[in-house]
Amino acid sequence: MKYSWIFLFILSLFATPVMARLTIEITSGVDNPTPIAVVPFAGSLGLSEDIQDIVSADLLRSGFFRPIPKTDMLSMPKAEAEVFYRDWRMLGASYLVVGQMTNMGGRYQLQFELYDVISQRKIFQKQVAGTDSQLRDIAHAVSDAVYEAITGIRGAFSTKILYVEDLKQAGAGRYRLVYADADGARDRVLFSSSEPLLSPAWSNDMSKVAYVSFETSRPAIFIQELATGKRTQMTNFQGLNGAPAWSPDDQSLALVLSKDGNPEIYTLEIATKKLRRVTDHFAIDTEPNWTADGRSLIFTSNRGGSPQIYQVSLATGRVERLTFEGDYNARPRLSPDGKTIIMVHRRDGIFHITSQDVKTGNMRILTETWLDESPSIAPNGAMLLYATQHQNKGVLAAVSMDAGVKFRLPSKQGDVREPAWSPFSK
Amino acid sequence: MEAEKKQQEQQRKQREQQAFEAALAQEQASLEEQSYAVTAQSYMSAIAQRVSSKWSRPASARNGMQCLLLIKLVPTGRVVSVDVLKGSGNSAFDLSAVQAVKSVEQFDEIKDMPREVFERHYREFEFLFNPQDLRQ
Amino acid sequence: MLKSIKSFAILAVVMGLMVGCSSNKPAEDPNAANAAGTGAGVTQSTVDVDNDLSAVAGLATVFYFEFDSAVLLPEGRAALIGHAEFLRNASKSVRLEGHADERGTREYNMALGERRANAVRDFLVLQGVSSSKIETVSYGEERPAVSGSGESSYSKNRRVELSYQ
Repeated sequence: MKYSWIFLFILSLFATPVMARLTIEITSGVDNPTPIAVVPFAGSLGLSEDIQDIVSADLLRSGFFRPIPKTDMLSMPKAEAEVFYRDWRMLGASYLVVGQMTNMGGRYQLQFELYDVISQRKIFQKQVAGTDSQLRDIAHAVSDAVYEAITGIRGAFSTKILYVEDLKQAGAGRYRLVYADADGARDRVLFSSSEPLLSPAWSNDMSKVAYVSFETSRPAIFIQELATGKRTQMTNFQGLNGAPAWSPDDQSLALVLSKDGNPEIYTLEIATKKLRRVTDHFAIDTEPNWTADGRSLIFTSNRGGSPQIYQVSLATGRVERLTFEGDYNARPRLSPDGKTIIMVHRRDGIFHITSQDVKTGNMRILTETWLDESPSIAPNGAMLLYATQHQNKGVLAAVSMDAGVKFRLPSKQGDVREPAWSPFSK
Repeated sequence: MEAEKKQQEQQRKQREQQAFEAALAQEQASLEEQSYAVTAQSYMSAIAQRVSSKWSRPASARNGMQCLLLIKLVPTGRVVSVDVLKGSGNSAFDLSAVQAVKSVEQFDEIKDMPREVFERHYREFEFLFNPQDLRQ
Repeated sequence: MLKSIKSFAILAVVMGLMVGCSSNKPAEDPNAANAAGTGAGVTQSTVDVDNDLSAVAGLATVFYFEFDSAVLLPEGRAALIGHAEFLRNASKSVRLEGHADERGTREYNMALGERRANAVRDFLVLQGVSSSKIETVSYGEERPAVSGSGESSYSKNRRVELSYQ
């Protein structure tokens, strides 16, 4: 009896170390940005734009990368044969971007390559071409390709933004609707007025913009074609005409009208101007945003006593409350994957941008600046732009959707507000 | 008859003695294995920490993603190979895990590890990347 | 919850005003004003109006509100009764511009500004002013009276401005 007991004991002990390989579990990581070296591209010296600089700035702003200063670089390879991994490893670079620009009679062609320094292999080789005025687009295309190859997420560096600028001086051009690259460069004024402009919204095909203008001394919704500048007044009702939002198919606008006495949400078919009332409540209903399937809208309402986010089905008119935390949740925007709602949330008297998981309802504060509002999500869902105040001026800032990365866009004159991040160009 | 019985008894005792000694030896060996395993465990957290500190996750990484790597080392602690045994389905996530181990290059704590422990547990071992601190 | 109690209280006040109003002055006033407006020649009415405007010159034309509220504060009531008296008899019309402070979202504040303008309009109408003489518009937080952060600025921006046309 005694021996057999020992025998069993031994068996069970032998079983463990021989059978299983040791497994070490890693449950946390760092949010340290990944070091990357973007070598100044051969043949790009003296161009009207510094391509390497633009790419590095893009990657830095994404928060996922830390570009290595070019002054630290030991060599400036332009092709694979000139890449010595050891040099780049010594600099601490995990990735390396090199390239070569060729001027083909006024047209620039950039061949660029991405290397994995640690595994010592080439990840890709690509080409992009454009004219002198497209040098910034060439740079953003490089950033997009590098970002996607390493993070697995489509880059949004080539997208555009809209925002409203208030020069704070009475006069014809006081309020301006501005169109710019996602990094704020190449800004141009789409429309200016002595009266307020607000709520700019992109059509999903990026060809038009809808916004609210007070140029008639009352609010009205306008649509402006980006290519031609042609403007069409869409609404001119008594009371509010606000918060336009394009349907996913660009056939309709959701908007807010108070012509029937209360701020209610309507849909307006653009071609026919056919109006359909969606909400019916004596409270304030405003700030509609479409779900990706085009079948319902999420919106702000104070029907429960304080502003909260609700969802209404367009087919049935059934309304469901989505937020329950706090006494001020407003201006909802759905993330591109539909899994997260971004909104303005007040906690202890301070306005934050927060995200709420659609499935679990868990809320997370993303920004802790001052008077944060108007969040607009990048089409890749990785970041959002919002308006905030800095030194008593309205400025734009960005934050990653997991709140890890934050930065402010350089501000110009006056107040800048109401950013709208474009969709991906198709 | 009597002698035969005595001899059988002798043989039986001998067998018992042999079995006991064998068992004892096995137990001894198993105790050694056990102590190697305990020693091996004492290195785990230091090694995990080293990898954690090198692991920059891509923005697409989410809680619930898991990537299992097979690591091969030489006794100096140098990483000879890193292979993905089971990917997460997100190639950027898997790549970030591989990069984390490769960027460590050299696990210095392995150098002063008893040779038996190294051979049994660290010449070949696994890393399971299983983030708990990301969003869903 | 608190808010709905508040709005009930306001409803009660408004009802009370309505009763007081109808007992003091029967509904002849809007008609009288209309008659004066349509009957008089253009020049003559201008002279009348000038005289009349000096009658309301001393009255407050800006009315303030609390945060996220469109409830008229008691201190504005006396001035509004004065404006209502004037409007009942004059041919002038009035524009009410509702505003909000910069806190909160822009379109929600646009709606809030309208609610505030409507609160003043409703009060004037209850005082016997024809609603056809009143134009309301909301500027939300787009046109603050004073700039700067802090309750001292915010309280001046949560307002309805009354101006004669």
